[in-house]
Amino acid sequence: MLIPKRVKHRKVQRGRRRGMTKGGASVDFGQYGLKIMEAGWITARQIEAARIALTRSIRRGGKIWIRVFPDKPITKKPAETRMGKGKGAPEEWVAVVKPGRVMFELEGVSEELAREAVRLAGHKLPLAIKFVKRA
Amino acid sequence: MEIPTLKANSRSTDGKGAARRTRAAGKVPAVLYGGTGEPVSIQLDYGEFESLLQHHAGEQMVVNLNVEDKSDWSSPAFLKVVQHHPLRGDVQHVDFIRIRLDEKIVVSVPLTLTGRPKGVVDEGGVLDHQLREIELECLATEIPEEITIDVSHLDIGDSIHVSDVKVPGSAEIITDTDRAVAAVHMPRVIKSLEEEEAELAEAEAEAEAEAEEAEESEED
Repeated sequence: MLIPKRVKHRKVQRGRRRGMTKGGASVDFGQYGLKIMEAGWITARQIEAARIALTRSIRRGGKIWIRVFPDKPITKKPAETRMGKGKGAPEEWVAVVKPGRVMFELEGVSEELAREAVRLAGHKLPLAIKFVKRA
Repeated sequence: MEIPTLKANSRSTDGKGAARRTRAAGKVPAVLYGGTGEPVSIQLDYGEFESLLQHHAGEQMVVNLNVEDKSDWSSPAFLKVVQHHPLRGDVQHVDFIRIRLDEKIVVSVPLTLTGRPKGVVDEGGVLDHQLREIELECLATEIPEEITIDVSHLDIGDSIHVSDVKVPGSAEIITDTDRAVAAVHMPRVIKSLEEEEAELAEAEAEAEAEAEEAEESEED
């Protein structure tokens, strides 16, 4: 699972997710890609699950790039706790993604196999996705 | 190489709102700069520009820009940047640089691979296409649309470098000649489900331990 090695601040505010992706909107490394069509948070576990789905479906051969990194800590208060008494403990790490972001890239496989792999990986993600090809 | 002609018109308005209105009217806002002239705002017909892009392998090309209402702005221009919408992919804005046809310019030309490598067909290797564009210095009239490289002779462990690429005409390669263009590797071994799950559990345990440690140190 992807986790930052060291962070400056253990807890951060939620922030906003307005607008489109600022960069990373085109397939730059591989031949095919998985593009995110909505704004949202993707947890390190979801990234890992999608990566495993991609790797399993392309089996032998092929190369994968992960173009997002979960660098935002998310805190949670324990169950049945009264409000107040400070912010909860860090629970998980998420990547903030905005519409248009190419999250995964693939190379070395046929288009048919890549489409199927992206479809399966998309089922592990909480946001709408699209299969894209290098321009 | 024949240089295509692209029709354009001058554009008096600028800014976000005006650019959106230009796009809504079926035009593409663009800018022409460089050379001896001043930067000028122009607009192109969306359909004409899109078809020009579709009939060309890369996005970098030389066009004869014909500004219909300001003929003194017309000049040969190099298509430097094409900005696309992140979701829809349609063209949002274009940058042109004025050039002289008798001077050499530096351009990126797409590198395409043909054939299936021996190492992939016979031994199940993986073709790794590492460099997809090569920088050339050449005359605007001599820019190749793309450079094709045959990789069918590559075995596992073999690679093709920039120094092996043959460019047409008087073009000179700018890209570092030691860089690999394509290589054939052994396929990675796929881990079994149990191995992956064990690794995942280990990573989670490590992360939890780290978080606890950090919490303790903060409390101190």
